[in-house]
Amino acid sequence: MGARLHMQTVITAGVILVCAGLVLYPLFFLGQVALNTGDPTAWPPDQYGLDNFDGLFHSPGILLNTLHVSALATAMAIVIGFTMAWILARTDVPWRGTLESLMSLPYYVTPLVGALAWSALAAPNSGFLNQVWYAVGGVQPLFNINSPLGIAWVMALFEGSVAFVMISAAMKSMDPALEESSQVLGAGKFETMLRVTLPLVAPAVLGATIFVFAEMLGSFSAAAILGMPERFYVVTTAIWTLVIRFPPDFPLAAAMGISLFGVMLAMMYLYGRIMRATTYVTITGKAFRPRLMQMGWTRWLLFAVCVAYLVVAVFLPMLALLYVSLLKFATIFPKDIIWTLENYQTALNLGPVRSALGTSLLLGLLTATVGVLLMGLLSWIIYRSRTPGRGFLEYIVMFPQSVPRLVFGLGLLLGWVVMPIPVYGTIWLLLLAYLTVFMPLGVRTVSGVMVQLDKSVEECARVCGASWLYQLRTVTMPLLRPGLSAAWVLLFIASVREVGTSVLLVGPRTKVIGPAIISSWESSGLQLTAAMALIQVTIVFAALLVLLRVAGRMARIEGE
Amino acid sequence: MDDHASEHHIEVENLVVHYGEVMAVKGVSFTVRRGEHLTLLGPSGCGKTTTLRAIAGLEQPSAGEIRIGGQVVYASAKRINVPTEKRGVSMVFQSYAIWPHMTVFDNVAYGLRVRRMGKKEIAEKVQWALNLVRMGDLADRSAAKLSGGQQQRVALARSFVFSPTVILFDEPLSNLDAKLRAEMRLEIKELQHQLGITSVYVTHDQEEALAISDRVIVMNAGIIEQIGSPGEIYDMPRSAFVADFVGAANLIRGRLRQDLARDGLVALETPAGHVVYGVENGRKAAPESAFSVRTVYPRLSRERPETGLNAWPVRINRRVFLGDFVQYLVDWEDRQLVVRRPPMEHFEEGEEVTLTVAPEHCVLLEA
Repeated sequence: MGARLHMQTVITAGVILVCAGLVLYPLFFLGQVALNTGDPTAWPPDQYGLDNFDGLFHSPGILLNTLHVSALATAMAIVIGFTMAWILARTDVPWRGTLESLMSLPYYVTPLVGALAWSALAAPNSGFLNQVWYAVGGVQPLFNINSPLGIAWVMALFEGSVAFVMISAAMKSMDPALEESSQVLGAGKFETMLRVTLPLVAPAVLGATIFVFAEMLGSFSAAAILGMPERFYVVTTAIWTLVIRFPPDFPLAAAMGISLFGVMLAMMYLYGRIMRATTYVTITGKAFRPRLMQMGWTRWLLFAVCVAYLVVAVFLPMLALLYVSLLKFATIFPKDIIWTLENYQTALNLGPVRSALGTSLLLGLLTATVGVLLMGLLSWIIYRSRTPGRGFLEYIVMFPQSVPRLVFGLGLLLGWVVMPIPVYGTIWLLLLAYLTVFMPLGVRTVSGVMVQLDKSVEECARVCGASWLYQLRTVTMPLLRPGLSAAWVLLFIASVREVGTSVLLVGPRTKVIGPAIISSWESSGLQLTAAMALIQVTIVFAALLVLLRVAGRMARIEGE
Repeated sequence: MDDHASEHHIEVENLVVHYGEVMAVKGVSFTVRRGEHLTLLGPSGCGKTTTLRAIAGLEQPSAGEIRIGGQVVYASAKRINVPTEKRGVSMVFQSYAIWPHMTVFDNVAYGLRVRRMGKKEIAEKVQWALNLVRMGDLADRSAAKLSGGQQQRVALARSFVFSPTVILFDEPLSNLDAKLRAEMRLEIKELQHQLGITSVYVTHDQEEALAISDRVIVMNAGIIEQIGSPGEIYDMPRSAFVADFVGAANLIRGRLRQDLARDGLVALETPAGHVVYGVENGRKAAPESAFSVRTVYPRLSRERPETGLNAWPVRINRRVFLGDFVQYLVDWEDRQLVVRRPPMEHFEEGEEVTLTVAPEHCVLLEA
């Protein structure tokens, strides 16, 4: 036992070191480069200073743009999220169950795909909606998606489903008895809403606001697709431009990255504080059957609101992309339409695109498989073992969610180009990057299942005489399998749709699909890009179907 | 050595268990005789479950020694810690820990398969065990489809099927409803007699403890308050805690009056000046001492009894009908006593009556 304990300590210490290395190594280089005011090609730097941060203030427009877009998108996303959460958690809207499961779809559409689709729909001149508008006599474009509002719109459709999940979780975990007792004590429906319901949900709304805003600050794809053609830059796209131009300005990019990271870290800290301070809402962790409000005929109106959201966030964009991808020229006028499958043929035959698809799939498989093992081990150490230092490990594992993806990619780029080992530009660096940035996602998914698994179920096997390995094989693994499978699929999906981190790490021979879509958007037409995006979406949704089946099986086991 | 081992099946010496900074068990020692049914009783957080888990090897103690069948399974001084699966104990968990991905049969057969028993023998033994807990016809049922009571029975069958010599019970009945609990209590006692297995049973339910144990250990805040047979624990509580936790008791404090002692009785004078006689039980009375008086022992009567010992006029303050008994709150001195009487006696609220309690029912608590 002494020896076993020793082993466990050694393994845990090793895991902590590796994880801390994965997370902190890129950030260290980011900081070093940001503070490097000497010769930018010298390494290690010969002079340190804060001069690079001055560069931030030479272009205040970028900061203002970022705040502008983020604030707009956050406001819209919270309105969407709150409305949807209230309708689906609190009212007797028809087909609640179906609507609720459809609410996760906008999340899987991704900002990149959403931006492409909305560009097809609402670009000032060529967008279908505007074409219709001109045809009926409009002069000025009706919609302009290449604007701050346009970018915010696309992002809000996406983040709306994130806000929905956070707010509806709070609404569902609220014991209806809390409201009922208010009414029993004499408060009316309205007063109850004001004095009990709102204060209980307010922290979740505030938390979601901060969370979404922080994510917005670090978001890249929509601003890249919709903003850059109009020379409208936010911090992330500015960093990207600084890095890919020749010669690259790494110090300024790093300074911007570090600043963005600092802001996001502060917001995530605030978010964590709010969530911890208000856990009284979910003290039992139990899901209650909420008391549904009888809405009468209004429920059909609410139903229409939900459907409208799904249409603009999922179905309309998907249809638009599908339509564009099957056209030779983007038009809505029947006489001009020339149908073709050429775009798909090109996408599947063109060398770089094909290899990007292949690499993405391979990376997805690798990330998911290695990730499940790594994150299974991490979850076990954090939530099951009694090893000292597991609190610290949890902190490290969750840390990547406070680092904007693109900034993390920049850090990895800076950290590995100086290394003599030729890792930069290979699939391995991407794998390393994915495993690190998906750590919070993977650990949260696996541990969600692990903490549900009653500890005594494992202990009982030992008491019956089973060794640790026999117990793992006969009890732990079979019971964890559904959860681990779900984590596998989620990691696969996350890898295939990844853009922010990859965009700075792809090399000439290792392209992945997300960044390939962005470069196709810059160099070829919308039609080819739409075809590529749809291929990506198809892979993601196929994986999603697998996930739903796994989740269904999991629910059946737990439901007993 | 052998005799010693056969007499004391489980020996726990100065066991200390920490949870981080918190000391959950603070130096506990006791022994369990072969075939004995011992219960660890106490409120939640008293360290009873931790002690049990330390015996099973599921909790790592920080000091002390544990021997099972004469063999050391844990000793801090000798750095011995035998892993759970090698201790030869079995256990029934509070949550039952039924594996939902197996059938009833597979659950019960687990311990036999671990021991590499033959297929035929496994089938026979599992059937025997399931029949004993009256689950013989449900062997092929998926374990996920069992009710709470059925899970409990499967957990029981699984715990004794591989003929362990010790079974540890961790609050096995606390998740069942009251009626089922009473039923299972009897069944466990019956099984215990049939199999002659040594068992350690943890519960916070005093009724359960008194009903099924040969001996009871009352624990509080990580230490042992009292060890004794159910009768001893009930009739001669050692401390105010035991008196209050096991059954219901009135506590009467007073100053020792050695000058008034007679007939081997000890006398305490209450602050209001009443003299109460009680029994010492070999305990030493301190200048300030206390008696425990079970609520069922005092008698109420409208006539004044003839003997003068422990008889005082009281006034019925409240009468609460509780079915099997009636609980009276009576005003005595400047406080109230709780008295439980059979429902056939009837006193009205406000009535002035005489309360008498036999001196042998006033039990001196240890100072």
